[in-house]
Amino acid sequence: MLSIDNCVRALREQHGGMTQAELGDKVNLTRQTIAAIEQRRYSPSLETAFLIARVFGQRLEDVFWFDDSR
Amino acid sequence: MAFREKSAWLMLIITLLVGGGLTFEVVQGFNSTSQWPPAVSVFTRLTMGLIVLSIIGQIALALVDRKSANRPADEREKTIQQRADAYSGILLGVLIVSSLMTYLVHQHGDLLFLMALLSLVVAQTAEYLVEIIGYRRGY
Repeated sequence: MLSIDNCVRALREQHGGMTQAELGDKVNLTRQTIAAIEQRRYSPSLETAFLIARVFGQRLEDVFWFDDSR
Repeated sequence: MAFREKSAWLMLIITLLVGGGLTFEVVQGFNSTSQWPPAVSVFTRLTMGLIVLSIIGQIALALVDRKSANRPADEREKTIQQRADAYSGILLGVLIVSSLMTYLVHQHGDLLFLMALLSLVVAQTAEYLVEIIGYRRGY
């Protein structure tokens, strides 16, 4: 598991149960890449992180943060 | 499973089947006749086998999932592919140099050609394997 944590899954659920594929289409990622981000197996680029935050109307640091416990 | 992972699995299987089959045949031939087969014949069969099976397989994959097939690789897939390319390139270099060293010892042109072909097959197989491992572990 990588050091950058996120709440992408929770935000998807808050936004009408948006699917991974729908979010992927909005930010030009595959469903599998969204799944990898949610499972902390992949850290997106800064640009993609900003795009994901923008889809949910959040600030970047509210969606992605560094997990100090690791 | 992502389209590119399926594609990597398909290409791995095709490369192993065609490359492995031909390698087995060449080694068997050498064991029975003590002579390496003509390099042109092996090269032609390897190239044609890989091209024909790849085209058929990729078309079949694309027909099953047209949307994903048309989509360009995303950033994670590009990273995985670049890493696989890098490993494969290093391996190819090592194997080609080994082939050249073998040539210095045996002075056999057909053997050098066959070893270079085998190096390509092994490097390509490694590339697909590294890709698949990348897709499986996430990055």
